[in-house]
Amino acid sequence: MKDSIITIDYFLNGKKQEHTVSPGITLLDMLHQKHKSFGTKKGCKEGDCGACTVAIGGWVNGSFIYQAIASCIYPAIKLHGKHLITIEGLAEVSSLHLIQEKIVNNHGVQCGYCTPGISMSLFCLFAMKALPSEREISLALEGNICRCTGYEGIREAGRAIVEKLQNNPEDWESEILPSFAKDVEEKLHDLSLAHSPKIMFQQVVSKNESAPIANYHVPETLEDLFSLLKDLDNSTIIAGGTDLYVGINAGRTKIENLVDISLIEDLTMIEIGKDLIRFGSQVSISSLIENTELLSIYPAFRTVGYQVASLQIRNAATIAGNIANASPIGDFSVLLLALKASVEIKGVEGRRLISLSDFFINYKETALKKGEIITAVEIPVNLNLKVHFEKSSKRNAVDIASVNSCFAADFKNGEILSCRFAFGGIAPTPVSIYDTDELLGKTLNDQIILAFANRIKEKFPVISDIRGSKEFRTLLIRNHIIKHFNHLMKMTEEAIR
Amino acid sequence: MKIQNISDNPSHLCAVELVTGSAKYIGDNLNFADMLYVYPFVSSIAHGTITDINITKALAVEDVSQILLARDIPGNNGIGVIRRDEEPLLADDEVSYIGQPIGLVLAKTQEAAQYGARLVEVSYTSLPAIITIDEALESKSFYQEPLEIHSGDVLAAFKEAAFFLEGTFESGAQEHLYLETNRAAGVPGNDGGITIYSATQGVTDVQDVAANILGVTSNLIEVDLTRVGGAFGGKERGGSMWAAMVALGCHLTGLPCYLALERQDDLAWTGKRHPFKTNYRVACTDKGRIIGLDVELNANGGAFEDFTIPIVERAMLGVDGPYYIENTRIIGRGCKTNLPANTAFRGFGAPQASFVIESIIDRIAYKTGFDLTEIQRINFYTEGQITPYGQRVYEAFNDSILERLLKKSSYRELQVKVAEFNKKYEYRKRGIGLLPVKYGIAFTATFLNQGNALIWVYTDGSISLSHGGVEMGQGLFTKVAKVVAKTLGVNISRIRCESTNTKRIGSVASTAASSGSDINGYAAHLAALKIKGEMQKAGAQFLFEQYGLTPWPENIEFAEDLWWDTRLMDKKESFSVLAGFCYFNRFNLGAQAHYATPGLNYDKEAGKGTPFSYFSIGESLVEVEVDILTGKTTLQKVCIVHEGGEILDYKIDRGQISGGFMQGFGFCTMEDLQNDLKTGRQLASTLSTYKVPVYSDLPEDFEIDLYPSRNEHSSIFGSKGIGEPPILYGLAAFFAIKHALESIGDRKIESVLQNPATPESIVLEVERIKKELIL
Repeated sequence: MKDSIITIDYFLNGKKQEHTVSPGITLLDMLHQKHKSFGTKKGCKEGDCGACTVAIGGWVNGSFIYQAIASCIYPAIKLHGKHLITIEGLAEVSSLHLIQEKIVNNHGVQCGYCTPGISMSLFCLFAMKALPSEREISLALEGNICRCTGYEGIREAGRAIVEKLQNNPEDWESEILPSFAKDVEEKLHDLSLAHSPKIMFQQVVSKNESAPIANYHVPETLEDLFSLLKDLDNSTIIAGGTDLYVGINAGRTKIENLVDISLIEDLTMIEIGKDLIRFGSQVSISSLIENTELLSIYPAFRTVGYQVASLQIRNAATIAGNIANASPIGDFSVLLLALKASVEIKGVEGRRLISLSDFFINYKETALKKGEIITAVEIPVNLNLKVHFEKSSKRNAVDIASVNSCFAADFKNGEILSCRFAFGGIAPTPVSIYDTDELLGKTLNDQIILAFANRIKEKFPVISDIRGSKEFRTLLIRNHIIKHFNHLMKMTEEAIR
Repeated sequence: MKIQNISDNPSHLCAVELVTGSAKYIGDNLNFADMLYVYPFVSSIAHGTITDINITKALAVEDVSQILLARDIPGNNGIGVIRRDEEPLLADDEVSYIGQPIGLVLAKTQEAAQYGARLVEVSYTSLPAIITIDEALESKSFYQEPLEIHSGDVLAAFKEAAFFLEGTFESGAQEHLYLETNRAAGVPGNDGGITIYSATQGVTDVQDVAANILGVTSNLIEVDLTRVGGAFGGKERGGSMWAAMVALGCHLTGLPCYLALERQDDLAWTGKRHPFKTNYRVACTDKGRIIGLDVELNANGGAFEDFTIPIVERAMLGVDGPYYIENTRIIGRGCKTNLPANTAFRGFGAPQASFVIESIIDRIAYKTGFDLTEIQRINFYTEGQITPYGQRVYEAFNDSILERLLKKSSYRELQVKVAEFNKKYEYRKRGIGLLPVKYGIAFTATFLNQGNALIWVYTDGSISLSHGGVEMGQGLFTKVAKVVAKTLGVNISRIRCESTNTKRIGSVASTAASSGSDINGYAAHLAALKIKGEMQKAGAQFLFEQYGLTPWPENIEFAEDLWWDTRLMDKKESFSVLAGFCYFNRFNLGAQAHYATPGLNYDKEAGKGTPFSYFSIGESLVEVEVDILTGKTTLQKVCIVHEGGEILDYKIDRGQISGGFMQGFGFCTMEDLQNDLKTGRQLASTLSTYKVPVYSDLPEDFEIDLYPSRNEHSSIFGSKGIGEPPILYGLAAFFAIKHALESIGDRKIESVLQNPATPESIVLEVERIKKELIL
């Protein structure tokens, strides 16, 4: 196999860059090794602490968007055609950025190791919205661990920024965007750099065996992708990479060929039809859960989405990746199972559509065959569905569930016409529960619900692990069911009122 | 904001560097072409003997240059805290925990060093491993004979008692999770010496350990650091092991060496807060006054002694809490097990002890039916009462703090609201917890209570300040600089806080025990006074030469960056002018000073003495809401009253309180470390499994009442140590959750909620309570 040499073009803090990157090197390592830029900190290398947060700006559907990204699990190659802003780009030579000033004045910094990441998360927030709510500030900062301050000084800093911008709305651009930002926006627009990085293959005699990734491929069309997958013996698909890179960084995963599907345009659509919702496998969690059309049909996407990982991860991760991963506890998996979603799969052999419940076969095992990828997810539209999601985890935010579940019911006049549950964390795959006959067509009371919950909780071969004992998880099955019904009753009462 | 303005009113002298990302941490500015990366390979079993180490595959990796084993150590293979030989740097024959370093891979890249380390094959013969405190107690696996403190007559107290309670409390381990992992760099010097840049709280420990490993004298080892990215006790001596490794690599290869632990390894290999298991018996009057306490505190120390005995000792000295108990029998045991050596962590045994005594107080309140505040009040120390270890308690007015807290938090109204809420909702329950703090400040090892400082004033009037303390985010540099600025009457912007360096400041105590600003601040104050004395003489001479004023040095005053003679107030001169004058007239512009905290003595054998300089006091109130179906807990309200002494820096102290609170909250709720009971493997060794509080855990209603006070018993300029006490405030959340669960059956069932109160612990306890209610 030949080694690939990849050249990427992008802007770093206003300055044009063009250089080669080694295959699969993370953005964080590139900042440290190539740019000798150490303001961006390495905290955990698994996207769980936020110390390495940077801002990546780029054109999306006609607007220039800044997103907070965990640079420790983000391939540097994805920078191509983008504007990378790091902590070094925030302050001007002689004065601090408004965000930095407020952090300093409100004692939002102690040891300082998390501070660059916190500043960049706040930058992305304020760059996209001048006056965010407290909840929005919280969502933007949940992915940044600070072990020193208890977050109080940071919260005060955020409030002080809002106050300043509230009083001087006309200053938003000059206060928030670095002086070079608009210029780069225009240049990126004109240059239209967003074609794929230049890749040359080159015969290399000795290959560095300690490098975790040997080759990186960036096909631009599905045809290219499939012919590539046919040729390659060992290949791994990468979309957001937020899970893959955790394994790579931990030294668990060595990859011969990493095939990045992020430039394939066919995979980025979101279609909201009268009967069917369809979105491509390259759609990030963030862009899906901010889609107002989708939310008007199924608001649960946002409820679930805000409980999935952190903003940094949601900005990169895709729902299709979450599905393909076949985690027994994927939050979106249980929502999509409850909504009777299907998965569109394409490969050299052609296209097929299978229901999500058939897609999960066993622990981390799916119906995907060699050379196939998920291209889209389809969800039938049912405006009568009442959907409710529950997640139990050690920490209320940014955590993987012990048990998660979703309930979707077609509910009319106090009676359930049809319903289904989906559960994660209680079996080797996320599971659907269909046998709900005893709930249908009658006025529900506590006894019926408890009897049903007690029956279901005995059905699954629940296991014990670090996220919960068998005993705990079994109780959660019952308790989640009770919570779902309580919620349904509450919604009904409110509707009657 | 203009950058130059910041130092005028600092709350953190380095804040600008930190917030712009220009602040350097260990390793950030290393730029050596020939530098080697060091990475250890470690034991994969909890206990056994090494039968073979196969390094062939690792050596074959491109860029791997060398592999070092125990036999390559030129000096003594010993890094133990109390006795060097007790703990090896590299395991030679026996391995005692999973993660114990066996050897080092040296390579030209970080990737190759780590990859090489994974390819080393070690074979073992397994030996039986001890994982839990119970196993250690059963096989009598202790570091030493139990420590004991006795006071009064416990047996008589139990005979007199109206009732007594007994039982067992447990608290778990906690990971420090400093955001910067352990790291060190070693650079060879010109003359056979080595400079070690180490992320440590204790430069002297690093220096001595490295010298011992290399078999050289301490004066050949220079240790230097500018800042640490969080420590919390985890780098008090935790830094020494990794620093010794780079020193070894540097010594043997003659090249610069660097080691930075990956997060997952730092989590899995390094020691934690000690888990405790405590058996107790408590004797009370019918009013709930404690008259006798019999406790046995057992700590899981891990495979090596580290600070286990001093931590057990501090737990014993803290188990009285803020309460006067006349008759006590307090036993402390350090259990030797096959886990990584547990180590210092903010509080140093005090949070575990606080959990024990507050659980007891809570049980007494439950048993007697009195309000918790009544039980606290009736038991609080009064002025001059004597602790079980014989120290008189002064200025610990927990009673008036409690009053202030109850008023501030509208406690009575809150109680009513909570009761109404709990009546209204079946599955959501609220509870209130209270946690009073009386925290003894000083190292209990008396000899550690000493600080050193070195100050130079340059001829332009700028000032260089060195002391033995380490800046790890707690604001120590700012506080000490403020002390010097105040002493010399200068603007703080004149002062540069230098790196902590063993060549400038030798033989220092680690920055720990909440004593950093006390001992270093005092030493800096004394050094500044020496300089002030010299400059007063110079100033008198200056005014004589200029105006013919009779020299009278005591009349020279310094303030607001100026100086003058009180007899000639209209002739104020700048500090810089005098600094220049000093040099040309041969006055000494440098001073070193040493400070030893007075009045301390503690006899460990007898369990008697005065281990503490003074007490930091306060109390917290926490209201939580618990979803009893899922165990999800939300902080509703936090109110903390803390008596601050003459506060050196309000924002810094406030930051210590909010940060400490959240760390304590994490400790008793979501921070859950478990080990496989057979293999000893740590089950949560990534950040996806080990959870600490995040931004959204901070409640909307979060009030800190940090108020200044005048105390006879305090430290530099009347200030008080603040680093550790606030972590105890977080424990109030545990009791709030417990009370929320007890409301399920209108307090008919006493909760035995397990610590930490994870959702699992809560849901299982709710189930138990509901079953008991049916019976």
